[in-house]
Amino acid sequence: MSNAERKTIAASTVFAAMFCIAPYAYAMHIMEGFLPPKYCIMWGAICVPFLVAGFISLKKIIRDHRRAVIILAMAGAYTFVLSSLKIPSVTGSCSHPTGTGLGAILFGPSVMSVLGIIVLIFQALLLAHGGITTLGANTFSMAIGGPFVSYGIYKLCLKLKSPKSLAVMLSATIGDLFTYCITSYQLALAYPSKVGGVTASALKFLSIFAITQVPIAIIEGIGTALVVAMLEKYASKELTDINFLKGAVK
Amino acid sequence: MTDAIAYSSKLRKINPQTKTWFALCTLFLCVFMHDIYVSIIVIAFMWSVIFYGCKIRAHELFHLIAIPVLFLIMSMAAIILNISGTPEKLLALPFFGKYITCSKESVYKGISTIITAFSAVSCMYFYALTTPLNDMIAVMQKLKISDVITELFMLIYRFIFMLLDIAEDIFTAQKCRLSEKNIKIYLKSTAILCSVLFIRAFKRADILYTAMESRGYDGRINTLKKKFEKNFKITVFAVFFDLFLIALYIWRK
Repeated sequence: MSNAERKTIAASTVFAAMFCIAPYAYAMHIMEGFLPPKYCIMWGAICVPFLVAGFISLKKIIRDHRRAVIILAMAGAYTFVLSSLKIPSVTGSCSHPTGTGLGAILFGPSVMSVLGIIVLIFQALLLAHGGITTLGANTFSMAIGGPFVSYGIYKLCLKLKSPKSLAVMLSATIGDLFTYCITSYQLALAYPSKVGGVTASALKFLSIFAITQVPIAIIEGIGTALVVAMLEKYASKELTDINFLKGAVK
Repeated sequence: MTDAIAYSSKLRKINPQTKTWFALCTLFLCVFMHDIYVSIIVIAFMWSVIFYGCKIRAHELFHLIAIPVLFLIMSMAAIILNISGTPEKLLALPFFGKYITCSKESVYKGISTIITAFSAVSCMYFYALTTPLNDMIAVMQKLKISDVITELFMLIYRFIFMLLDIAEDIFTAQKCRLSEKNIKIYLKSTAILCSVLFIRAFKRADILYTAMESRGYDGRINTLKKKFEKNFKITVFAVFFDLFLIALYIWRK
């Protein structure tokens, strides 16, 4: 075997190995201890204003509606369970949705930021996804960035008079993709590549995670649209019941 | 779920405050020092404690390890490999006129990151596998974190298991009716599951609220705080372990 042939085989093995990994991929949690301390602190600090705003609106909601604590807790638990459900993936096996798109549409983005960080802590402690030192970075991408973009796109689509199912689908898909872009960027900032710096590194992370994240995002978009359609059919009473969560946020 | 293992762990009875501070301090030491030797010692110590204290079956261990390891492999590829016009000595694969290469420094950086990350994960596993969530919430209450947050924690923790039970029942029922036949049906039945789960969850919340209100609920959940006995020896040992890590780090510099 010549040198070139050997290298080709090695390259194809690496390529194949990546696809073997893909089926098991989880929603994009940055692993515990993966980010250098500087970035842990920085991302944590960026989250603080959002969390404070979310916390204040949460307190207001709870003061005005006594039932709110229980409903909020149920919403948090629902988001957690959603994120641990398996959804079918293109590769034939399963992956896990982030559930933040649905959460943002149902409960509003500010409430989702506080619920999101609690869910992330639970995921870190009960399932060992994500971690304590990377909590700030994960919160920013999954509990703040994703939901706010999802909600914005959802409202924008409704303003443009697009059908609701399309609005839901687009918002969940783009929210998911946005989460994945932020995560790649966070990783790239912490580990810039030697040639080309942060941008080149971000491209590398984007292309490696694209294998799993792009199909997941599209499937989650379709799934979320189906769920919302079904909820409107069967659970319109419950949906109007929790509308006050969004009302108090504005 | 790590919680089930934590409940039957031998180390459960140790004061959770000690465990919390020990795990957190060691975790931050690992991340801040980013030193291979410190990390290896932490990995060895944490896993020997976990294996001594907890009964973990092989497949549970596999599930615990699989997620971080897969994340590591994928992101390591991005850190170690570079695409550039000039091939490096260690490895160079031709790729559309350029090279996928990696240098010695990037491999070293990759390996030290893997070990640090794994030591941090070990600290967290130690904590999660020896301390049930109830105890963690008790520690949070001691730290005077806002009542709203601790109450939310407590309730979410209870509801998670309730909802997981409902979800599993529905999932089994759907599976009996061939819900996994093809992707289209699978997607649809997952959507049904999510929406039914939502309806059930909020029905339960309604019932729970009525039940609590009839027992004098006024927006606050008052519970008796658990008391934990203090164990002087273990606290001293924990402090010494962390001091030893710091000393090792300074000595190596």
